[in-house]
Amino acid sequence: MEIKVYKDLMGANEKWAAKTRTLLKEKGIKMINIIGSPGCGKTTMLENLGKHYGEQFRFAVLEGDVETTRDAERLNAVNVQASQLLTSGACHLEAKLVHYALKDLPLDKLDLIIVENVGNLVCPAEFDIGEHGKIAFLSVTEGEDKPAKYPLLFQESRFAVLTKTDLLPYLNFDIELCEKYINQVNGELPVIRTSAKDNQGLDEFVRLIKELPL
Amino acid sequence: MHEFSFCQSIMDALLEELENHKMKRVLSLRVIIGRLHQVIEENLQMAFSVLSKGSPAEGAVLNLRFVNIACECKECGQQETVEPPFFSCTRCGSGKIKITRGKELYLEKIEME
Repeated sequence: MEIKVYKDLMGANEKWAAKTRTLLKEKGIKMINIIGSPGCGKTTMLENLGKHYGEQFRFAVLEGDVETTRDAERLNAVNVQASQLLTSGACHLEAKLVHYALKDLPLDKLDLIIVENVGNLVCPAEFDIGEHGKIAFLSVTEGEDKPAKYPLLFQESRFAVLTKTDLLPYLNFDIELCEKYINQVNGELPVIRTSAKDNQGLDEFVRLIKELPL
Repeated sequence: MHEFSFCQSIMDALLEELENHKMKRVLSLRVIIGRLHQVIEENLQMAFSVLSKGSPAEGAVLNLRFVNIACECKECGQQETVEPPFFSCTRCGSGKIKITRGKELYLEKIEME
């Protein structure tokens, strides 16, 4: 016999993402999912957020890595509440793991949860973890054409953050060309330029997070 | 990417339907995949043959239908297919487009006995 099924193959992940959405809505919490290559500056941005905006924002971080608790330790050292999620081999975070980690946070005392996904421009873009928005991170040491090479992330994200702009004088990176590539992949994606060295762009980063609808 | 992960979902769905319909074996199945998922057909076939070994789906024919990415321009209303990585309207050049097709990922039908 032949039967028509129409079964969504991302169904299992979507169920957990939906549970997370319900929980976040109940608690009035915004959640963002930051995605970028290993070493592009995600954790450093969050350290700076903690140092300069820690009083203003009640936020916590869920750190995703294959191994080690180093990133959560870095953030804890600057008084940012951070939990480490270890995937032990998986290249991205999925909704079920994030949901379980969320439940261990003091949700009644938080306005914002930032998930720092596993360093990877490919796979995290595929998976909905119940976030209000994905944020693409790209450093100027990575090549202007990366948005074209990894279009799904830039298509799915709500804004893009270019990092390490203090290094531009030492590189052949054409930042305007990179922004043009981003625009061609997603014409509606806001892009901000940042540098952790002098906190350039940190205020913009905060503004764009605040503007993300709940 | 993640062909093994998708195949695991396919296997779970197949076993569930076999149970629901009291059938013994899967003969064939059809899966619809939008091209935004960047799934490689060869890898999916390989993952399926590995994961179905020893199960009632072993030997089943996995048919795949890929859906091209399509979009609608928010400025001029043009509807067209998109060739990644550039997503912009070929009529008016706007980058403000809405993806209308290409994100599908579902098991459409199963033939069992």
